[in-house]
Amino acid sequence: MKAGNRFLLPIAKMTISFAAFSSSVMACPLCRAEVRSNIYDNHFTGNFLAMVLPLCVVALIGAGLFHADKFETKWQKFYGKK
Amino acid sequence: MARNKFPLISAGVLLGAGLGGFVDGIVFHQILQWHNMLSAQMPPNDLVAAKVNMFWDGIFHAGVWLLTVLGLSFLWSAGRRSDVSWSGRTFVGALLVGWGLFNLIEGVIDHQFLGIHHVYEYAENKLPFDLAFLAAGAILLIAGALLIKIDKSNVH
Repeated sequence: MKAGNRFLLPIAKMTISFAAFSSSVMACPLCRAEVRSNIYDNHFTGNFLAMVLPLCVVALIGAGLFHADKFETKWQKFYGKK
Repeated sequence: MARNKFPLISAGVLLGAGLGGFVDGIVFHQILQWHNMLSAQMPPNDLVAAKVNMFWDGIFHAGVWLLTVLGLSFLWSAGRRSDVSWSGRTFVGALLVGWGLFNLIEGVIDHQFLGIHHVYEYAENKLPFDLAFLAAGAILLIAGALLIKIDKSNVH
C-alpha cells in the first residue's frame, strides 16, 4: 500500500495538470479562441465537478472496501463480538 | 489465519470501474458516437461544440485512467499480503461488480440527476436507452456479486 501510494500521488497530480493545461484545444487555429472560451467559461467548475463526481463516488467505495476488514473488526469490538 | 477477501475485491472493483469507463468512452463516445460528456447541454453540431465535448471527454478519460491506476495500486498491495485470499473467481466477480457500479453510478448521476448527457442522444425518447444502461449495470453487479459469493476460497 505504502509503495503504491508513493507513486500514485505524483501520477494523479501529473494527469490532472496535463488534462487541465493540455494544448489539445490548440489543434484548430481558426476556432481555438472560441473553443477555449467555451471550455473556460462560467460553467467550468460545475462541468469539472460533474465529470469527476461519479468517479469520486466509485473511488470512495473502492477505498472503503480496501479497509473493510478494519471496519468489520471495529464493528465487532463495538458490539463485543469476536 | 483468517483469509481477508476485501483488498482483492476493492482492487477488482476499481479496475472494473476504470475499464468499464473506458468501454463507455471508446464504444459510446468514439466508435458509435451516441453521446459525449456534455452532449445534452452542448450538442456537437459544429466543430467548436464537438471540440468542447472532446475536451470534457478527455477529462472523463483522465479520471477513469486514474481509477484504473488506483485499482492497480490496490492489486499490487493485495498481492504482497499473506492474509489476502488470491482467487481468480473473486477477482473476476469484483471486476464485474466494478463495471456494474460504474454504469449504475454514472447512469444515475450523469443521465438522470444532472442530465449532462444521455446514452443515445439522437433518439426522440432517450429514456429506454438510459434504462437499458442501468439494467446492464445491475446485471453486471449481481453477476459479479454471485461469483464472489460462490467462491469457496472466501470461506473463513
